[in-house]
Amino acid sequence: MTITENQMLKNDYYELSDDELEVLFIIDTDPIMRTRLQKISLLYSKIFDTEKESHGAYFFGGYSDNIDEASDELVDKGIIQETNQGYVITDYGIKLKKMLIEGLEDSDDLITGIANIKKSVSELDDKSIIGLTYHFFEETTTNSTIKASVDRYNKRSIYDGKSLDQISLDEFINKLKKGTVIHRGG
Amino acid sequence: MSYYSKLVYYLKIDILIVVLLFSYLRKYLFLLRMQCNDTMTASRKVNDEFILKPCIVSLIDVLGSSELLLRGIRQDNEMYLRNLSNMFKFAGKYYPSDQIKTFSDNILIYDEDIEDGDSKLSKMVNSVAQMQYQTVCDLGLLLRGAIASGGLYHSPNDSEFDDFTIGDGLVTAYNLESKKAIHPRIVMQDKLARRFLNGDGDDSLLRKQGSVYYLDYLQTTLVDGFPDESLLSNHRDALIKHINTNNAVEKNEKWDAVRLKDVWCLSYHNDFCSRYDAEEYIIDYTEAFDSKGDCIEISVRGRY
Amino acid sequence: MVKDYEIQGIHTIANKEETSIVRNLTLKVGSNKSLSKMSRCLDRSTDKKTLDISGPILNECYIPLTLDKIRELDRDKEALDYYILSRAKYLDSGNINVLSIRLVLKPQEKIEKKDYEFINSLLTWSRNDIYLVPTLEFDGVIESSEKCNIYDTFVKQLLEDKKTWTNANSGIMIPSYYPRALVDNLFEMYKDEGSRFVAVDFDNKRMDKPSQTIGTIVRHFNSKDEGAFMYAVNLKPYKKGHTDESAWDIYAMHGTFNAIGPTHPKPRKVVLPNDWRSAGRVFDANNVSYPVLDENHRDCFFNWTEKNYHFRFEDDYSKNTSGVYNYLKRYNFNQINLLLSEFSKAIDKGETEFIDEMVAHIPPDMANTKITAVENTSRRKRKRINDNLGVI
Repeated sequence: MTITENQMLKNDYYELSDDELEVLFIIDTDPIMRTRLQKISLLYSKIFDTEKESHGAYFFGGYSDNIDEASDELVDKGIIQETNQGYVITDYGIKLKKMLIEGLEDSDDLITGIANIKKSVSELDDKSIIGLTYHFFEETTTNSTIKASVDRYNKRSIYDGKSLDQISLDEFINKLKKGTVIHRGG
Repeated sequence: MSYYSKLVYYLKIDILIVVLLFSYLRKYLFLLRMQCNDTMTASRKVNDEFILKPCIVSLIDVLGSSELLLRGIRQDNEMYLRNLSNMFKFAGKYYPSDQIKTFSDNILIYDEDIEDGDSKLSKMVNSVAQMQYQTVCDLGLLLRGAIASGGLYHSPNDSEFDDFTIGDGLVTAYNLESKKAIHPRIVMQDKLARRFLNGDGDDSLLRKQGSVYYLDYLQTTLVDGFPDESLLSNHRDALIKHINTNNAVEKNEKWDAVRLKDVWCLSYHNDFCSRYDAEEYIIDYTEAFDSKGDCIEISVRGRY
Repeated sequence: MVKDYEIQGIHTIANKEETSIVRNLTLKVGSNKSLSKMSRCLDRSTDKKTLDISGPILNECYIPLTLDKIRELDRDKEALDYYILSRAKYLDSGNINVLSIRLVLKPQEKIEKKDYEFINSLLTWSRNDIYLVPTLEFDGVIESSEKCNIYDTFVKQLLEDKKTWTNANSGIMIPSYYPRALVDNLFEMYKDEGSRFVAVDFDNKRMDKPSQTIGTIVRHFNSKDEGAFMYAVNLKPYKKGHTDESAWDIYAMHGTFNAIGPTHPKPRKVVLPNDWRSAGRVFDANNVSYPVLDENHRDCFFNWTEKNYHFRFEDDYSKNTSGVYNYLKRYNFNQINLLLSEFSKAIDKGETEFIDEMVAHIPPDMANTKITAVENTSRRKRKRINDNLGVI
């Protein structure tokens, strides 16, 4: 019995776990590195999934093994692919995502929420996103081997004309929720 | 001896003989089974062919060996030999022993350069960079070497001449190491460097100085673009210790060459710290005549 | 030479909520080898001493291959012997040896008749005990439906050719990408084989989807009223970077697995700190967990090493040689097998107290997940779709 693409789409539509859905909605046609994926996922969990302690304090700051495995699983299923520039969605993944956007119930946080977070940090490079997560979510940095370096980087960092000490957590989260673009510098 | 005692005595000897015979028989049967039954397929044995296979070759030389050995201080020799042995073990972490050859203070690492060789090239560059960092920090040894591609022949494991290795790849690497590297760095053949930069490897591992590409091995201390300060601190401390050790030895006519190598390492370390905003780890040093005015010494003062 | 195997003496204990279904059974291979306890397979760091302490176990001989490598080894018997024997240890120590082949295919590559011959000759090798069908992996991007179709063709052809090599029953391999809903498709291909040895490839991930593939397998064999020896290939033992230190590999036993293999992680460029945190995690049998090797957990490991190898590690990590990791793996191998041995005895004797203690250590994330659930109800809800993939 030959397995068809439709059968796989139907199977994946029903079978993807919540973590896999999260990864699928973070990844797009523009490549995204593993670190950036982890940090955006951290931001998402801090806004929308506050009860679950999804990210632990790893050697590189906040890290979720579930998200790591979910991305490996999606690569395995051909929904995303891993290149040297990062993860990218495949044609098959695009079809699946479209089905899920129509079919998922009560998932505004997932679809719109993630889109707004991504928009908000779209002008920031990976180092800036890392710096922001280290500053606002210090509890995830206790085991980090680069904390001192990142702290020094953060001391010099200005976002929308303000230093990090001048930006409150609420202000930061509101920008992420609304999709307000954050700029590094003045 | 009573009859009973004699019986027991001879019985014990008999049992011992039987046990010994059995163990030899078992060993013989085991070896026989290994040779006869251990055939995977009915494939014919291939004749030995003397062919140069395309390989990626790294030839690395440990600096300072001849000066140290000629000084003839036993304790120094012992520590040096131990360090050299440990360095070869570092290579063993990345490559199997049949891809590593050692002779004197040189180490040769090679990997077959197959059609889809970019991952192998990437692995070689990453591994050698890690090894270089580890050798400086853990063993206080400076390396100079080259990575090149070309033909290489290496004798099989069971051949009459062990470690018989030769080829144009090795010759190219040797020429690069002896003529172009100059400083304690590992340089790369031009065309290989261009291939690496155009391929899937981590570009940041290669740096260009003038017309020469070399391994920027301190990149191995970076995580997501941020330096791991403990690793940078280890490197700083290791270099300071290395230089103080050199300062303590009796100077001879080769001292200037030694000093130039040390200065290069210090400059490289400091440049890296500047590039990655880790000024705290820059080594403050000066060069000045020693107290007798016989030669120029390096004085290090640790933190910037 | 591969022999027929059979499953005997099945003891099953499920808790009321079915969040744990543990089984112990005897796997008998030929006339002279059998295994009557759950086990953790040996790996590259295992030495004779630790193997002797643990007793006979399932011995996974992990052989990664490509078509280029197969064709190269097929031409050179000595290179072949060296390649295989350097990856297959303790073949004569009374363990049940299973060659676990992973064949990686490049895009557009085709497996040819000679390649099938080679694979069959390898699988029917004198030192291999169970004919386990290999898994296929794919280099590059390939549609998942195509992966499954290629794998189906591979299995069919291999089993067809197998008939000229051996009559022994084969073991089923379920690749990590094979969808749950279609696993019965795969079982169908083995219907004449009498297969009751099932290897599930986790591809270095944790077992956390019992409602999917595992549940399907358990229901399949339960419905036929047969047991199966379930073997977890390349299963990740714990979550990285997390406060949850639960032993996720032991959780596999609650999902009816009988043996867990070593991990074969994908190479990743990771810069680790030069302290005990990077040495790896130590297995704590009392809490069925993998804590970091901090001050509180080092003594057991140091004492064990001192007792068995007559040296003691330094407290200062940087003063130790690079051998820490290998000794830690040996220690873990030993501790896990001791625990699994106790677990097996408890199941055979119906010692529910011990089993309840083990159930109490199921990872918190999975504590309410039914092993044979058809659907994972904790997932986000989706609308139904029709056969044309339109939302209903």
